[in-house]
Amino acid sequence: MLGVGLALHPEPELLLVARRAIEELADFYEISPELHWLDATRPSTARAQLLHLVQASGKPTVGHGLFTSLGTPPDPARSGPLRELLAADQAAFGFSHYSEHLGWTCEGGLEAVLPLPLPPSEASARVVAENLRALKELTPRVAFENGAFLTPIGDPTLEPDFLRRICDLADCDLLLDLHNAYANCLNTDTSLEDWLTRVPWERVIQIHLSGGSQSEPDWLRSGATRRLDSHDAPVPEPVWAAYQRALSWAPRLEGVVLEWLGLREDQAAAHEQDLRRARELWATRPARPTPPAAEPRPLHEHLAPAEVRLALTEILHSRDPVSALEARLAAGSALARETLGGLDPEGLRLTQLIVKRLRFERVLQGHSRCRAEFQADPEGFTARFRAYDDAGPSRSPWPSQEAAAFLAS
Amino acid sequence: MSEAKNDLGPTQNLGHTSRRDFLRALGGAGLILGLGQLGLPSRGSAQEAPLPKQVDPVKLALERLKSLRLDGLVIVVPEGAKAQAALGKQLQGLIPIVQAHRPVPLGGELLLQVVWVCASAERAQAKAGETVVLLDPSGKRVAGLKLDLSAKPAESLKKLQALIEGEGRLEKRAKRARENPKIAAALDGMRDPKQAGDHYSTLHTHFAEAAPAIVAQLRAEQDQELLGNLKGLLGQGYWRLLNSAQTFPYGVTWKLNVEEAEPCPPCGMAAPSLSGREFLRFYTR
Repeated sequence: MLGVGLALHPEPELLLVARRAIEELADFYEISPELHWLDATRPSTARAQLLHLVQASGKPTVGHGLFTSLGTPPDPARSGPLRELLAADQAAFGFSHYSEHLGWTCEGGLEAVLPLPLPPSEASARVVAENLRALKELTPRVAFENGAFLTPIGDPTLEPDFLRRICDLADCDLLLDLHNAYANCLNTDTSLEDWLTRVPWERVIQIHLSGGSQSEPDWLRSGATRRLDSHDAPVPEPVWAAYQRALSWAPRLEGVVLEWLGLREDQAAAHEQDLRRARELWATRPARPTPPAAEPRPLHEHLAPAEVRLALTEILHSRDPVSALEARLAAGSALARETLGGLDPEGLRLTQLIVKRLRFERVLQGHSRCRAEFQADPEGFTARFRAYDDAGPSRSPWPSQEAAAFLAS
Repeated sequence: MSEAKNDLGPTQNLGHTSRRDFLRALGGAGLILGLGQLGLPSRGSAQEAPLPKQVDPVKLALERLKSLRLDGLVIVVPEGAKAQAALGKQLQGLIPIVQAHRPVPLGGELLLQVVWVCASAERAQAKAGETVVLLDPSGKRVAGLKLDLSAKPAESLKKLQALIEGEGRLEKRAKRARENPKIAAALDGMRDPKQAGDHYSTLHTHFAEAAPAIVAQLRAEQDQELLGNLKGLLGQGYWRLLNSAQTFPYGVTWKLNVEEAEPCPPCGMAAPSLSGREFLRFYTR
């Protein structure tokens, strides 16, 4: 049993602000290997320091990956170095299990970094399961995490059935992110309660708790906003209620992790309060949790995952993703309209903005010169970035490589 | 969180302490030598890291003056534990806390261009009533000041600026820093945007020695792009020094490599950084 843990990112500010929580309130830590590697061949300075911290704590760890792209068929050229990285970290940190995000982040050499949605179909489940089985060769146990998508594909109420199908095909476990589920239900106007009752609870071994916030009205011309999986606020009450459900329903649950990004000094008390509340509720979990009865529903037929990835790559890289989507639907088959026709236009625009922003942030993170240039002239730098981005989508998830490509452009 | 609640007390929990005060309390040791020996209360952590072996801050300061060819500023330590602790808190109030890579306020510029150290009146070579003394790189007294550090930090900093930079002292200090050809070449080379990145790195490597020249150029510079780069350089260097004396969980030493690229953002990918928000403001126009 792991207990209540913290996402331990190698950010000095977080480590200072959350020192007490790290030392005294966390039973275990969740480590994301990609955060302490400069690229697939070089660790950052932070890796040795983080390892030293974990060893000094004597506490167990779990791994939580970012770059596997579960929804993309295995590509040895891309996944090979990542597998070496993971194997090295598995040996060093001794993860008791390793989880990855459901979704896809790359297509044909293009890297989005943000996990993007898959159609909840048998074909998608098979691709994801193949990747999860491959991960099992590297770590003792493998799980995947339900995603937060601003524009889910297909019927959002089918997501729990999709999760169940993947678990069955891969014979793997589930990391249930309750804020992701909450955000998806808010954004699609569906019932979190219904969603929860359909989860394959017997597969759930870990839970993520976090807060989030609304997107800013200025980001979309319509002024529309969506709930974001931003991990930057206290856990909201509906997520606490879902956590209590989970404690009663998940018979194999081993641990819960509180996620909080960019923790500020004025948030430290709220962060500790959330952690204490998670611990108090954890202590009240029943001896024999019993999942509710739920009849699995069949998954719908959709476009093949590869076609969806290609379509979304093209749509997200266009200047106006909604016009690009409409053009594709007009020229596509009935199945294409069935698969992509229900995409939320504002969610699609917001997804595109996040993909662009993430690429911009990677450019800044990759080289101090980029940071200095942006600071000196943010408007001019943004115009230069727009031209760079228009020339072609990202080909590397690593900041150092993205910055090098930008500076060479 | 009010200022009153932020005061570090002997039993106060770190988790409920203002991070700015926390950084001042710990980071100050790297910026003002001897500050940690003024009897300030320590944090109330259950697993306190062992205290480092005490070193003579004056000896360390004199070594820095010589090796970096910097001037020194000696803060005269009064008699009595209570007065010393009060001085410690007053000095902490002069240390600006800024986010990584953000522009450094006046207090930071003054902390960077001379070596600050706490010492007795005798070792400070202070004349009667003087509370601060300026030294040259050989450790010889240059000037002194009867400064009341219990005044508002902004007022104290203004008077300290006059002492540290007045009578052409900043210019002399900058000229001395530029006698290192690497520093002079890098500062001049920063004007060429294509080469700025390499020179930026050189100045980071020699940051402690170059700081007076960077501050002097910042004060005189008109070119907005270069100004932005110089502010960024000073911000990174200041943040690095501020954090050099921090105690991380389980006493782990955490050194920042400012030359290194930063990793990817974690999985909460919808959370924009401050720069990300500014980018979106322009991008969505």
